[in-house]
Amino acid sequence: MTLPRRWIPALLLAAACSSDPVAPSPALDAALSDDVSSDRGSVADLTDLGMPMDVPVALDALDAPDVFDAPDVFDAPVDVAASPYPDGPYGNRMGSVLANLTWEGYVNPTGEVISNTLPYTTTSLQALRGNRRGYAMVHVSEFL
Amino acid sequence: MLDAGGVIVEVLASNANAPPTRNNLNAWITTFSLPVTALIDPSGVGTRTLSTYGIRESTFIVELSTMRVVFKVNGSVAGIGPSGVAQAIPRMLELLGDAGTP
Repeated sequence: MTLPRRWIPALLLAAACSSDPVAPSPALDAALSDDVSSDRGSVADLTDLGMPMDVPVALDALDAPDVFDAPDVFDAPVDVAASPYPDGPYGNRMGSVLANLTWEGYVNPTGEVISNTLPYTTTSLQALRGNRRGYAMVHVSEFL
Repeated sequence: MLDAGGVIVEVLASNANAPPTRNNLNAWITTFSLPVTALIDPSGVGTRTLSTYGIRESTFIVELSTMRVVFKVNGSVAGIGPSGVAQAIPRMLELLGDAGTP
């Protein structure tokens, strides 16, 4: 029988949950062993016992992730944005770590349009840092 | 510079020593037809960028992986000579390894 792939995680989960962490005693082993022949039934036997046979529907309800389609996290590129903003001490001199400030205004990473045609939003130096690996130029200007 | 992977951030840090408004920022962008990220301090924090980063025409180049300042220049506040941005662009392009693309 070929099982749909999405069943497998649920089956593995069910197997893990149903395993007994306590090892059976020798007496229990013997009892189980004696009963193997009589307990080894067919699927039809389960139906006779009133067990639900509509397993795909039951497993769908679990909405188990498909492990075969999951991305390989070890192949994922390192994302600078995933790391926290560097620790201080902060400063504004050469060699200092520039402090992470929050701002509001227009974020325009592509430079394709005049900036105030874009949505007005809040951002921060950490957010603008994004996943870039290069350099940022920060210019302080002032209306007089 | 953006094509080369650079990030450009323009912060309007004050309006005659007062916190700038959104209208000030819009006027700033429109006046210079700015196509770069342009920001102001959020309301309620005063001129925080000015007090943290320094006076106008302070221009920083920071390495994004460490956020360390690798280049800093102060353009003339009297409007004489090249601006801070004009002085920083060649270094920025050099760092980005794309000196031929403005």
